[in-house]
Amino acid sequence: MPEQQQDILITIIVASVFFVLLGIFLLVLLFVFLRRQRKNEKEKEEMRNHFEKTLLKSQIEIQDQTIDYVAKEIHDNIGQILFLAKLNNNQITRENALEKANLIDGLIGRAFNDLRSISHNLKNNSFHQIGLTESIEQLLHNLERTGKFTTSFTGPPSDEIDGMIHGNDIILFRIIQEVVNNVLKHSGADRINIVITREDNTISIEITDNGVGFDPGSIRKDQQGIGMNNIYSRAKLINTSVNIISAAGEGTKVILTLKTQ
Amino acid sequence: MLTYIYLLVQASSFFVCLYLFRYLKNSELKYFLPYLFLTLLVEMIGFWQTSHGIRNYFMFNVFTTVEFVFYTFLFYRHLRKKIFKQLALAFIPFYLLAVAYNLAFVQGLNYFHTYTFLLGSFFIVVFCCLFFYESVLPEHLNTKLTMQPFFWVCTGLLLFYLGSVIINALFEYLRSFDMQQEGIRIYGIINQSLNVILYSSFIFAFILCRNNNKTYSLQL
Repeated sequence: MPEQQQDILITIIVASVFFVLLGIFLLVLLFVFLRRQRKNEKEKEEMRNHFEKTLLKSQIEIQDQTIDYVAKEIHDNIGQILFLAKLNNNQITRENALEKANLIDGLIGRAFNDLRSISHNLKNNSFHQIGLTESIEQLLHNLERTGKFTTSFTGPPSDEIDGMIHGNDIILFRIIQEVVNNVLKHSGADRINIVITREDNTISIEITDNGVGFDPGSIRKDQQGIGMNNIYSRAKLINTSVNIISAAGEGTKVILTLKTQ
Repeated sequence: MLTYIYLLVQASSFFVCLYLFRYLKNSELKYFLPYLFLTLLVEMIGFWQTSHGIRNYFMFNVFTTVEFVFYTFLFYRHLRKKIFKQLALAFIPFYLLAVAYNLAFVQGLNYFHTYTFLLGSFFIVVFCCLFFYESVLPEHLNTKLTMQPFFWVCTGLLLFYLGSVIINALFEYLRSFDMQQEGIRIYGIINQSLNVILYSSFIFAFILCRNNNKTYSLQL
């Protein structure tokens, strides 16, 4: 057989083998793609689970804080008033009976009002009912009630913000609570301001105090407490950046920036 | 030698299909039983005719047309997207018309219908790609591809039709006098090797179908 014909036959064989290899390559590509896609799905699922866990944890923590607040109110406020009423009751004599009765009546009235206020708070304090902005106002109001702090809050109307951060609001509120807890524990501040601003798809929350401040650069990552770690990990989960501006003696400003879709 | 291996594998695929039919009867693979019987019959007759020097193009023209219609029908049953199903369904009458036209006016009854064979091959490769495409869609990620019997049917078809494109395109040339029988030999080697792959993948699909059935019964 002429050499030319032989070359053609070899070309035909090589081309056929090449096409079969092309098919095998296509199958390999399919499996690699499938594997990668499954891995991505698994990662997404894990992220979703992590988010749900954090959300649940945040809800439980908010509930715990509310229960703490109620317990404290009952013990420190209503308990004291009722104790005072009991003391006055024991001191009733024929001479001061009317005066004491009026006093006891006033004290019981105060205890009743406080109880009603707690009940009202409990009933309307559900995060889902009042949303982020009102929950922040409530948080600051409770701080003011201690008489140790002055607070201020500025922000756009509740419905404007809540719609934008729906789904992330509980976690965001927990971050704010954690920042405020840090202020109460470490700063020695007596003034806390919270400002929420909105610009296009970005929501910025500034929490400022007039405490002792600190050098943020001096705190290494491994030295951060559980509180700070919680703030960073939760912020990461809801795609929020945390920026701390502080200096010794100049108070602290924590800026949370959340990009919404 | 390879011819015997090929015929053996093909006959095995039919007998495996027959043996495991009770597991296949609830799946779309049940249609393989009559099809493989027909294939075996045609191949046997073809083998006998070739060894007696009888031209058998007409029989193979008809058989390969049935073959493409059968595979397209299988794809029609297995593809999930409506548009793909419609494409497969529309291809059947179109292909039959194309073959009829080719045999009547272009290549004639006494020649192998290479043009329409290549057209069929092209569409089977397209259907294989569509099946693979559907398999990687997020909604089907939970099903393990290698555990699906039709995946193996599809793999066999893809490799067979991709690999046989060149030899079928050059069918007449390979059989020409210039090639001094070498062309026919090469055609036979490639075609029969690809057929071994194709029918082995069918056998694997049938066995998988039985294993899946067993797994389901255990789960129940």
